[in-house]
Amino acid sequence: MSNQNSLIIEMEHITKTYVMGVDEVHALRDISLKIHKNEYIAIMGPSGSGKSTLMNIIGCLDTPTTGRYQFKNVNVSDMNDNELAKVRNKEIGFVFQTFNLLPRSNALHNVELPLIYAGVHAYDRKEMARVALDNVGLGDRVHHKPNELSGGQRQRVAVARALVNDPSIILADEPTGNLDSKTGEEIMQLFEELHARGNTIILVTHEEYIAEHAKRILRIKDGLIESDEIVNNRKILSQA
Amino acid sequence: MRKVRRLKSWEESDFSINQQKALTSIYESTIGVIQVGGFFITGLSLFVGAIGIMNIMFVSVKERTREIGIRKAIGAKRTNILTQFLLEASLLCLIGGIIGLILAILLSYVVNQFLPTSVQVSAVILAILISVLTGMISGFAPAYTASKLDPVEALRYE
Repeated sequence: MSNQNSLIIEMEHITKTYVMGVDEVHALRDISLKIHKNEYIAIMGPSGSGKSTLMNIIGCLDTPTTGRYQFKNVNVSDMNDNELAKVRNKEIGFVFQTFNLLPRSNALHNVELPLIYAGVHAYDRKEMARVALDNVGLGDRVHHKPNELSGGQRQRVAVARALVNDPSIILADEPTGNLDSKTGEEIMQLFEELHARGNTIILVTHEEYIAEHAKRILRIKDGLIESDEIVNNRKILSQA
Repeated sequence: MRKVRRLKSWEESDFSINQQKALTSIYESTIGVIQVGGFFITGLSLFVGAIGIMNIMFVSVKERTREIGIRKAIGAKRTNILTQFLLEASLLCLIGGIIGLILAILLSYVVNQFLPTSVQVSAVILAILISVLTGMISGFAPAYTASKLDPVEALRYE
C-alpha cells in the first residue's frame, strides 16, 4: 500500500491565501497529505474550514499559493490552465452536490462530454458512454434529459460521467447533499461498489454518517489538518 | 444617312441622331449613387447587427456561466470554450444571412416585374461569407470572456 507506485496524491505544505481587498484570507495554512491508490477517504470539516479550497486544489480546479502538489509523481502546482484541464479530463472524475449536468443534453451526451474533450472518436465515444451508463444501472435511460430523471438517477449519470475516462481518482463533493436519505444510501452503495472495483474515492462531506462509509477520515479545521484516522467501525452497506 | 433616306439637298433632315452614350452615362451615375448609398446602408445595418450579436452572446455567456464551469471541470481547455462560442455566434449570423438572402431573392422576383434584376452567385457567396465573418468578429469578445472564466467561480455561479 505504501510503495511509491501506488501513490497518487502527495501534498507538501500546501497553503492557499485569498486577497479580498486589503485583507488576506488564509483558507489553507499548512496541509501535507498522501493518498494512495484504491483508498476510500472522506474529507470532513465545518463550512469555512477550507475543505472546499482543498477539494478545488486536489481537483486541479485551483492552484496552491505555496507548497508542492504532486499528482502521480507529476508536479501540478505550477501547471498552466491547459495542462490542468488535461489532468482534470484524464485523471479526475468529479461528482458534485448539485449534479452539474448539462440540462439541455440527454444522459448519453452528458457522459460523452469528457470523451469529446479527450478527443475520442464519435463511434467509440457513444459505446463507452453507454457502457458507463450501464455500469451505474441506467442502461435504459440513455436518451432521457436530466429533468426527466429523478435526483438519484441524475447523480448516477454524474457518476457515469466521472468514470467514463477511467480516472485515477473520483472526487465527490457532498454527493448525497441534494438527495433524500434512501437515495443517498443508494449512491453510497454505488461508491462502495466502485471502491471494490479498485477505484480511488475522495469524498468531501460534513455529515458524519456519510463519512463513515469511507476507510479513512481526514478532518480539516481552520485550514489545518485536525486529525487523520482510519475508520474502525466502518459502516459497510449490505447489498440491498 | 440622308442618301439612304433619298433626301434632296434642300430638304430638311427627317431624322435625328441620338447617342446611346448620353443615356448610359446617366444610367451609370444613377447606379453609382445607388451603390454608394447601398453600401452605406448595408455597412450601417451590418454594424448595428454586429453590436446586437455581441450583446446576445455576452448575455448567453453570463447565463451559461455554470455550464462553462462544468465543461472546464471535466476537461475543456480555453480554446475549446472559445471555439464553442465563436461557432455559436457564426452559426447565428449564418442563419441570419440565409434568411436575409431568401428575402433578397423574393424581393428581386417582385422587382423583376418592373425592372430587370439578377441575383449573382458571387454576391450570394460574398453575403454568406460576410455574415459568418461578422459573427466571428462580434462573437470574439464574449467567447474570449467565457474562455477566461475561473472554473471554481463559474461552478459556484447561480
